[in-house]
Amino acid sequence: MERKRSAMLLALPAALALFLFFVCPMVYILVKTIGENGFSDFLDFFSDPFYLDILWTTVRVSLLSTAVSLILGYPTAYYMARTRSRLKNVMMIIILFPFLVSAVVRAYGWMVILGKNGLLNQLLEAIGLISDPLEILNTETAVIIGMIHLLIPYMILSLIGVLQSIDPNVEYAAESLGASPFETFLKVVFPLSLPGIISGCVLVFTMSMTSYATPKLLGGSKFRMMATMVVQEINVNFDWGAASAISYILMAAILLAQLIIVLGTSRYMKRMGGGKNA
Amino acid sequence: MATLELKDLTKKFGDFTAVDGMNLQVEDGEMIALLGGSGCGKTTTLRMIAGFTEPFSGSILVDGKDIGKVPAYKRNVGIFFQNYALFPHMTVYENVAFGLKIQKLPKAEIKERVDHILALVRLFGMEKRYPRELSGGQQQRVALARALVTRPSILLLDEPLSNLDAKLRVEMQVEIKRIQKKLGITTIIVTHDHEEAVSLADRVIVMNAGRILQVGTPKEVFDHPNSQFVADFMGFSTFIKGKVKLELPDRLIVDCSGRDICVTRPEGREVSEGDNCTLAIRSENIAILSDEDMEKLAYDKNALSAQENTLKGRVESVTYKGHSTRIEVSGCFAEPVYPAPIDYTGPGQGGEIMLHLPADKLCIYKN
Amino acid sequence: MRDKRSNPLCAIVAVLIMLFLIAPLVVIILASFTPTALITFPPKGFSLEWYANIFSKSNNFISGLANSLKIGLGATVLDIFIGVTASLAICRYDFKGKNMLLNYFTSPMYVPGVSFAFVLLQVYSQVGGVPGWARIFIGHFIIILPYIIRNTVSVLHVFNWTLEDAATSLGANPVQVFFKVTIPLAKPGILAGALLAFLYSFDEVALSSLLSTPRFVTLPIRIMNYMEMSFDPTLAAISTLLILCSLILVVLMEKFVGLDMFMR
Repeated sequence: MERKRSAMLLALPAALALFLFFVCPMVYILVKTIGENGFSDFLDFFSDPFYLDILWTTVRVSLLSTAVSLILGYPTAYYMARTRSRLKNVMMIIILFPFLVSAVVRAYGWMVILGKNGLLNQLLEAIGLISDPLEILNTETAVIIGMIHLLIPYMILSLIGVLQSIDPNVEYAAESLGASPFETFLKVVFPLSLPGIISGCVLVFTMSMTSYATPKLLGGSKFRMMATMVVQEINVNFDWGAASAISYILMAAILLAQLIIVLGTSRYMKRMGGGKNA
Repeated sequence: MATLELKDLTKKFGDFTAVDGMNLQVEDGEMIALLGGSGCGKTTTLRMIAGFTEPFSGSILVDGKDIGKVPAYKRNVGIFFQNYALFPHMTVYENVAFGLKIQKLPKAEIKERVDHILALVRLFGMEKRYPRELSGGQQQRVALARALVTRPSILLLDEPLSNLDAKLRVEMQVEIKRIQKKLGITTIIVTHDHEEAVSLADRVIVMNAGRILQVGTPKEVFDHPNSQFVADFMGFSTFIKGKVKLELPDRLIVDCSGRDICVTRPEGREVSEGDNCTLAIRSENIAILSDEDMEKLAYDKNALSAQENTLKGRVESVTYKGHSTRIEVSGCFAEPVYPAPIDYTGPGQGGEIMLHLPADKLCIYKN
Repeated sequence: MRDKRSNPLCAIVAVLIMLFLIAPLVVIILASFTPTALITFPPKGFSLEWYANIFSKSNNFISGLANSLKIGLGATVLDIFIGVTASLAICRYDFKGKNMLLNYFTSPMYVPGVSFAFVLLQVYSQVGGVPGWARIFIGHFIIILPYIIRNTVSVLHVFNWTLEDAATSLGANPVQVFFKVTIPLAKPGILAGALLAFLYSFDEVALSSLLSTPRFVTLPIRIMNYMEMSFDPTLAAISTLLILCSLILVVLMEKFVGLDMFMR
């Protein structure tokens, strides 16, 4: 009993702070929004092709960024998990480094590279591949490039963890039983790394769905994703009803993605007999 | 240096009673072993003495004073933890000096006492190392030094040798006993290993399900367990069911699967005619008789009692164990018998064998 | 032997990804020294004028930096206090609803920054009179708490609690145990969490752009505003300084805490 009381006492400051500044505002505003306008803002959102297009753009960009991050991140993570080369530490620093550099700074780097007078166009013109500059900045392509740059480290870190925990001898065992390297990958390594793939994908997908700085800076004024739209509704259109509808729909999408990860991984873990954490 | 007394000590976790009305008196300078399987309440008892958990009821007295209300950090009880619990962020010196620094002793005195205790556990010159740089045996000595340096009134050892290999274990047994006797400190050692208990302690307390089953000198507990459970725990291997056929002044005749077995009457335990009982004997106490032995027995009138407990059986299996050979013999009784001679040259599997169960080595328990 | 398993194709992809990851950062650093307003390669000469520009009063970068540091350091320090105690409550004691409590503490992670910012904005407009710094501070204070708690819990989760008993048996009272044993051993996790939390606050854009007032602007917002007005290499110069600081931080962390602290 006494222990429980000390636990409660220790947890109290954080619990109280969260309740006061997080739970209360969230609940209060949700109740207030629905109380004042009912669900009309949500209905407006889903009946307006303009908003639906933004939702689709957001999902599309996020799915593409996630897919490319996985396809390119997996071999990278596999190499890093298995190599004994000293390069590994350098790579680790290169991967962790972006965590410490602001998304604004990184987007700025891409603006310098991808802009109309940017380095890429200068290079391509210099070697005579193009005569007119390519329009990359302020397009969806630029946003996806920036997004992958921002998020691929998260994917790689999620994958390295599981890949390192796979005993290389399991792979040798598969090969000694006659599996080709590709079959070994498909039937042994891939299934074993599935928890890392799922958590990495959900992480990257969620972060992409909610990202603000990258689409705002690389997508230009006409490109809109959910998060930038919320800010635009508030600061430019002064339509708080629409802003709250978008904001809550975004939140619901994130919770859905989290639910998928929890259900997906727990079922998978059960099948593997509890996994290494059992 | 102190005496310790436990009075009706009880600990409950919800509905589960971990320690059930335990009474125990430990003399000044005595070394006591609490012996039992996992969940028998020995560790819980230790934690109550240390003050890490509060008793449900009952009291703990040190030198006659109830320490129930004294917080753990003021009890002056030294503890040796099962996995050593050395502070990984401190050197050997800092680990050992920790308790003295807490007492705010002058630097010079701390140094003197740490040096002294490190010499005692033969770790001099290792002060600057970190725990992870030490071998298991060295870590253990640091843990012992750290527990002793504050001059605790009582020393508690929790499974002190369980993490060591066989050779180090013997070495540390000797070491612990040497240091304990030298300092004359009242010590309680908790263990599940009966050999560790009998070789270290002055008195052994066998526990099960929160209760004390037997208290005695190592020899008493080892040779004469007072119940079948204790016998099983102390490593008795052969158990034979029977019925007491005849009571004699100094002996009992027991009918086991149709054979008469003669047993020396146990002290203080009532077993009477007609009782169902179990006989128990240690493997090493079962003698294997060669043909020569048999011939000798046939002519020697004095060996009559021995002759009585002589049995013929069939060897079922022979397992070489290094220091002895374990043999499974069937056909003597309904239950198999397991002798374990040191040098075995007798028949192999399927062969016939003569066994002798000495009457004074047999323990009898009423069912 | 393990080297055999590293397929050359994987190695090539890995190296390309590394180049992709550092390319924009290298470009920024090189661009910061060009003398021309238009960034070209190879650069036509060398100049430090853009660095001087950072410190020009009218650009407000320095005041933005000061604001960001105040918010970031303040929120991190406060969160260390309540976050570490909360993590101790979760890890040291066994009670029902432990996981629920941990989920509760990390719940702000699952709410998009803009959504939370908008909620706060509406509350501020109802309450009124909330000063500029507090508007952003409250948001950051909440949104970085999960990072501290998650990292601290991950060290305390594997903490050997017998060490606390050992210190107690040697005469250390609960306060001494906490400061001499528990805290020193949990320090790497707490530090890693604190660093991530501070950087999250320092780099945060979505929340700050909704909650900042003209009189209280954080550095990333200041940089974004500058971009909208002019696109000269002053941006490259300030970005280079920020990259440099990050590099110093990563080296320090590698030295004192180890990088695998961030891989949880």
